[in-house]
Amino acid sequence: MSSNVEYMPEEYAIETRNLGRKFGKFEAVKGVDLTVPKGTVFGLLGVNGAGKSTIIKMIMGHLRPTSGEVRILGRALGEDLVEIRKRVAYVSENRYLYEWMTVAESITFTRAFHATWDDRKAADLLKRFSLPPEKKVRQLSRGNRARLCLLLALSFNPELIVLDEPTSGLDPIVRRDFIENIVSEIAEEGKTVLFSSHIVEEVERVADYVGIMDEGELLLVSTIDEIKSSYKRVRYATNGTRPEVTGVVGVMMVENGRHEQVLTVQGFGDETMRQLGERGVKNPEVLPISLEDIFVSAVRAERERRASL
Amino acid sequence: MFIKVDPSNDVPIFRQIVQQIKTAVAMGRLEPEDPLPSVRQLAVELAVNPNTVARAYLDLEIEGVIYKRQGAGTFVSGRGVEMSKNERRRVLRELLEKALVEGLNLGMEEKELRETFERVLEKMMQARTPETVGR
Repeated sequence: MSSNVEYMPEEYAIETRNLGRKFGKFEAVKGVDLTVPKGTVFGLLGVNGAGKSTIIKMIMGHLRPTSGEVRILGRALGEDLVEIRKRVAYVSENRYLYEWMTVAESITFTRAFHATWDDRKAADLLKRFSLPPEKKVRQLSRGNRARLCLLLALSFNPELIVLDEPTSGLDPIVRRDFIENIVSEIAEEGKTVLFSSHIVEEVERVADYVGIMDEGELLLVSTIDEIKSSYKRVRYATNGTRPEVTGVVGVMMVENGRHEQVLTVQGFGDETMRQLGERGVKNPEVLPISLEDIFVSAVRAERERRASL
Repeated sequence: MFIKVDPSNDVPIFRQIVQQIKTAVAMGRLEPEDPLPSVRQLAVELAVNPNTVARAYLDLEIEGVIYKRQGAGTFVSGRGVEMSKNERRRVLRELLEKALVEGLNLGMEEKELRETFERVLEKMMQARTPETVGR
């Protein structure tokens, strides 16, 4: 199903094998093989509760997997956590900040942990975000807390930036700050970004690769361009009789209009068109399909498949 | 330069950028030798992945709408205007398609759609006549 480009192992910033996590009997993550090539932006897309955060916590070493392994920047997570932490930034809604410190103190404090800290970048972001240096963290608005987290994460020039639902609950202005800065980071050579989101628009804007997750499984991994060229919508007039199209290769969904039929097709190609011709479909029109629609059909098709087992 | 991308649109983002730059050239909002923003600038401005902008620029370059000058940046080429006819047709086709789908959804048949189109067009042309004669 995935049409991933082949990369050499050392080209991966993140590599998980059969990564799984159970909470009691509940399987939050089910044997996920996730590979994020270096220098790319990977968007992990899924509804709330799909297992995105659980995967990210395991990747960051905050949660122990119940199966499988994780390699970050070519190193096994279990063996090299300290070294990895120096090169990886993590931003999440729940990232810990010291409430009693001021903004300036938080920066000085975090700076001490990183040999690669970039003072100019920190000063630049402080200005760009209009953060008040003398204000205590506990007095900051939600948006400014998020901005401070982003500043602390980006200022030590990490090779890998991991963001767990970075914009969830933020207003459009802060959200835009986040996206613009992530874009600006990835324009720099070699940086890798993994971020999770349930907002399709965001993933489509900034991701090179998208991974669609549902119920603990990775359903689909591909580049956005490949997904969009492999999924198509086919529309045609029915002229009184509806062609029987169930079983045609790749057809995921059939919608019936008054005078037309609309198919959602995965792995669209000449074979699809040939089979549709055999079923009596005339003058089909092939239309592009939005990532949101692809996401919905992929999740629905998988849930239907499971329900029928 | 006014470019607006809509990720929820069915059309891929790089193609939206391509189409809007072409339209801007066709309408004369961008003229030959006008500079375009750098890939990075436009990516940050639109809040999209820089690779997406780079891909759009590459397509436009291959089609001869824009060209790169070593070290100086990206510019609109002279021959971009030739496409205006195709671009105009594309825009119109998309708009007509939307209207026709609406008509079909309302249960109209082909004959009625055609007649309505003809009537609307006729009325518009009539309304334009005095102006055209006056020139």
